[in-house]
Amino acid sequence: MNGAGPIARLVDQFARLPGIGPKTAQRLAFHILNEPPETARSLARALVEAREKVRRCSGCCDLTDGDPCAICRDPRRNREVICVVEQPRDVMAVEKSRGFRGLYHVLHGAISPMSGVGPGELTIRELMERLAKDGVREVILATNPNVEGDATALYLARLIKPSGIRVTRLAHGLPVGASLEYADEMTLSKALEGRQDLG
Amino acid sequence: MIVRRLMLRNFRNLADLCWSPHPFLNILSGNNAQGKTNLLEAIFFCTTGRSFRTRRDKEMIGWAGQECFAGAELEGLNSSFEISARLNANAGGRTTFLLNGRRQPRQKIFRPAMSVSFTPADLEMVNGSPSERRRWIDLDLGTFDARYQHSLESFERVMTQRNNLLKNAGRQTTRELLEPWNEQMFLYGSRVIEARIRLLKLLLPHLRKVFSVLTSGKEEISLKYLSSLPLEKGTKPEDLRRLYEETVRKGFVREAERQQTLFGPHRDDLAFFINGEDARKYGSRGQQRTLVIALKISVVKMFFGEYGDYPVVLLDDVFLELDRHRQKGLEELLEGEAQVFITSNRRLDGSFGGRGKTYTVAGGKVIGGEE
Repeated sequence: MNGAGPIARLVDQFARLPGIGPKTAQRLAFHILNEPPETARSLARALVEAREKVRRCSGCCDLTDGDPCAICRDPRRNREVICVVEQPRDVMAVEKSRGFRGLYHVLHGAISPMSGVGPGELTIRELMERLAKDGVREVILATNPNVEGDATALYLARLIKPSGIRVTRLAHGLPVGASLEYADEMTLSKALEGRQDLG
Repeated sequence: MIVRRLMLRNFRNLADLCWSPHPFLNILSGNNAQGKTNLLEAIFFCTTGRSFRTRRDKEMIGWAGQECFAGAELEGLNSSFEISARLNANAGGRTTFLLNGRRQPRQKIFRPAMSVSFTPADLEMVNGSPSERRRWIDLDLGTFDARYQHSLESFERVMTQRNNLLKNAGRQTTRELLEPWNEQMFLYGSRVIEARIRLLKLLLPHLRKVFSVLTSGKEEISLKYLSSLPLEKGTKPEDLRRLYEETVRKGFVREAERQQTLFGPHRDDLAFFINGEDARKYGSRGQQRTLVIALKISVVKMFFGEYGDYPVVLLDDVFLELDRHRQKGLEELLEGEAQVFITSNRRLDGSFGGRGKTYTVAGGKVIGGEE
């Protein structure tokens, strides 16, 4: 949409969001304009409030509205284990599994020289500071199973190992409940590599 | 794999076509620029999801409109299915693929080696740059190893990242930063090299036999994998990774100077020898053509050995530059096994065992079908 009127400005703002193209931006803008003014006001309030109140937790670097975050504050959590993930949404994913009761550390990315992301751009310094004082016994590297995630995990493993803390990596394998015939070859061969003894 | 029916709309010059080919041999004759190669391209496209001529799908859309449809009814060992594609020339328009009428991502539909093609451009495999030979190994042989594509793609990604690091930091690149990339480069790179050598070894007996039939036993073929790593005859797969590490350790100063990755499967090459002479330097055009055809057909045979089914064989202008004996050899190799499509602008007088039909392609239409 051309011009600089309020509609065009709104469309333009939506179009800057990830995953939103010009068409979707237009649809969103007109949707808002067709709704009662209160809808727009509450959306604007929610946006501003979230942006102003949410910050990085001083412990795990996850996004939070209270510092430290709810997980870092929780006394029932096992403080000896830290699960390192790339993004805040990964914390939610692991939390949903309810299988992990330790703490997290969010890196906010993975090492990628072609995007200009080196170790200095991630929250690695914060992680090392935590490891130096908190009595952590194990670090689980749960970065994504791709080239960048693996590079980040390898880098961290090298950095942490000398301190004597146990470093582990999430296993690659088959999705639970799925049948073998639908697994892709790569997942299957990774699952074969990581097979375990029974009984 | 057999093409039972081919349906095209606005595919290059093939405006509207519905054709049921012969289950064995299909000879497509006709003058230049009538649509013979386009027909092969359409079959290739419906069995691989890409073109052998272009990387841009949109080029396959004819002049008559903004859209194009290509579909094929296929029959495998014990399954029949239909693959179709819709191409869209509009800005931002994408190609969508359908399996039995349901939209699916490209990589879900196409299984390895549903078809093998020979086109005159494939001669580059012998006399072109090393990248052409690597491309052949990656595409034609890579399909025999389930991990190959993943290893290769991961290696290429790692190398891009590593090159970026070398370029930006130059001589200052620290070991600490390079280490995570090196480690993955050794892992995926040695897997790719190991797989290439293993697959070439599997291919070699087929290639020897096919080449001998094509040349009436007069010529002998051999090949050698030329690596940027100092491989020796006895280098075992499990030693590859260590060898890779050593090579990079020794060569790192040069890598830092040139600011790029100098060792690995992306620098490797393949040499062919006919009666002991390097085919690239000393082979005649006819010999080079024979070699490329032999490579393609030995992949077909190897595929049958592994999976018990033949890919569809697409041969564009294959008889050009082949003498009568070699033509006969080729007929002998193809007779009554795979479904074969051959284009030619001359009338073929070969017998081909009588199991096939000759069609004429004219003005984007397929005419006739003589036994």
